[in-house]
Amino acid sequence: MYDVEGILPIFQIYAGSTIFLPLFLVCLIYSFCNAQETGRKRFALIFIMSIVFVFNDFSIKLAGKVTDVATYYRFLWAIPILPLIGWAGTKAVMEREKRWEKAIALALVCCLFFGWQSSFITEGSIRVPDNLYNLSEDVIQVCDIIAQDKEKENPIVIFDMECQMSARIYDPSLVWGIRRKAYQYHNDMEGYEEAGNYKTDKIMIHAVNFGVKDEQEELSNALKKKKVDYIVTLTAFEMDAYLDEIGYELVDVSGTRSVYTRKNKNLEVHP
Amino acid sequence: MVQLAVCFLIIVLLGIEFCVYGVGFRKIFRVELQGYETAILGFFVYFGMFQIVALPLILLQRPFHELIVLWLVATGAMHVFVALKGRKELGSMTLGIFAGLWRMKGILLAAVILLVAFACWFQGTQQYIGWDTTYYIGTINTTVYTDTMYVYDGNSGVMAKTLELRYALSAFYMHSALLCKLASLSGILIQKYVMGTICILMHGLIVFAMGRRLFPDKEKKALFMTGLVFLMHLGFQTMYTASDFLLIRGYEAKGFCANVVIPAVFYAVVCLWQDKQRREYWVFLFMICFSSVPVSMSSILIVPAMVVVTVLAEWLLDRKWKILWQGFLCAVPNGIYLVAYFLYTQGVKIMIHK
Repeated sequence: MYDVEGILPIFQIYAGSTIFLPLFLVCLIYSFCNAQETGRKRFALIFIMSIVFVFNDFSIKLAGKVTDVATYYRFLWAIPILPLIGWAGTKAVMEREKRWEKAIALALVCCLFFGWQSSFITEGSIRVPDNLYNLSEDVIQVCDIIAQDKEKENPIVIFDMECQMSARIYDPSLVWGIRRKAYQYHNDMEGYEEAGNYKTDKIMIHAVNFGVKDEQEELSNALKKKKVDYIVTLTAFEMDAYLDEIGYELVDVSGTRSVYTRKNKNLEVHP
Repeated sequence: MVQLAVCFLIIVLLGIEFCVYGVGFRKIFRVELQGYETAILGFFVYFGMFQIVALPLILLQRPFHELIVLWLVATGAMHVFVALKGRKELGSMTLGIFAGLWRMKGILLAAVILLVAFACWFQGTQQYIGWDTTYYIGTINTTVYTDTMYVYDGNSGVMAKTLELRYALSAFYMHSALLCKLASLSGILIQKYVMGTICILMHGLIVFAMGRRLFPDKEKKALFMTGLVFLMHLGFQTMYTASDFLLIRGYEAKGFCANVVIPAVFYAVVCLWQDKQRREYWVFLFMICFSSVPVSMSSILIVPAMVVVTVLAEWLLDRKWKILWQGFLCAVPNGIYLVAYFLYTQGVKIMIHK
């Protein structure tokens, strides 16, 4: 059976607070009414086929299973929403005879597009990047500090989450000590019952991303197990003494972050 | 500033490459298309051919520099062929582009160019960084840094145990890595400033082509429609929209899928609606389908789904088996990728050689 309740939320999230989806339906009806008989049949057939083969709960979930995501929303891109509205809008504006009529029609169309609060153009979005890489200056400083200090070609580094996401975009010689999935699914202050294979990562997340200071032994073991060469965390966490006690000393600080390295870099660490 | 100038130069060179590949394909397969259609076709031929060269090397885990050498040889061969056989077409296409711009000159053209340029600037200045960004740009940087392809995990930099076919079946990011290597630029610069801009420009070209098809005798209406679509993109910010993948994440393969591949399929379908007997349009559709996965793995399901829906509808209208057969041929390339990917998800893995 066709599960409307299953498919509807996807369209609702897609449309958000914009008017584009209702507008698309209006344009669709308009083009259907103005089409010749073959065109109408074609519209109807495509509509039916789309529902039978694509836009139903079963197909979207099946596609999600194949592609390993909960809901395969990308099918929505196949609906030519903007081209169809663009076509109708062009007819509405360009087929006016007088210039003032065209201007009013264009103003009305623009009001329809921007009358809802979902524009990309916001106060924060019009910006000039701090640097050519469009990365935080702080992250670049952290990478430069490690690059100047490192004795290994590919040091293993654990970072706070924001820094981890950007660091290898700037310097691919760095190797993450905390896995992506650990940050995606276990980035919290909770215990380790649910952590499974990510327990080691989570211990390190607690330290570098939350500044937890009461798991010293666990952290020391985790750092040894992962052979971590550098620790990057927020300076505000004041981790100098805590990390010094488990063998990591401060190398330097960037704007908001501190970089620590293993005191005896020549010491072979075994898991 | 020098790096930005190099990025701009690469954008221009890629535009020329697309035209060269489009003309080359037209000559080889004796296809007659408009100038703007040739440029769109050229984009797909370019990435399709890159995939043919790159995929065997990726699967065999050959060094990245071998891909660079092979690709330069292949591109050189195409250039020689076009120089020998397609000079006139390339020349008339270039003249046609300038003549078209001259015909459309005026406030409307200036406004649309400004709007598209603003979209390019906007995309380049956004600072969105998600886990996917980290993976894609990390993959490009790691490829250049290690001279390997998909052997190291793009996210962490750790050597992978198996080839991640979810990404490795499409050579799109290897193409970016190739540009990085040739231009000595970082992956983020190539993606944000070059590929992000290419995505927006190709999207604009396809929308313009749609406009030309929907308003056959009115170039200015097509131009207006292009401007209107870009205006709408700026006002359509929700979680799943193609606009989000155009203006914020245009440099990702997904952005190309949403804004280049899918609109191109739609354009080819509109062409077929007007004349489904014409061989050129079927060739055009086939080429888009063939290169859809090379451009983005997200196309693996969407493109065949679009082809199936539209071709079945046409067949029900006409009841000619030839339509079904041609539609089936268009869906075959994605079908092969889908089988390969499905086997991968079922545990058929390619181990990484140490």
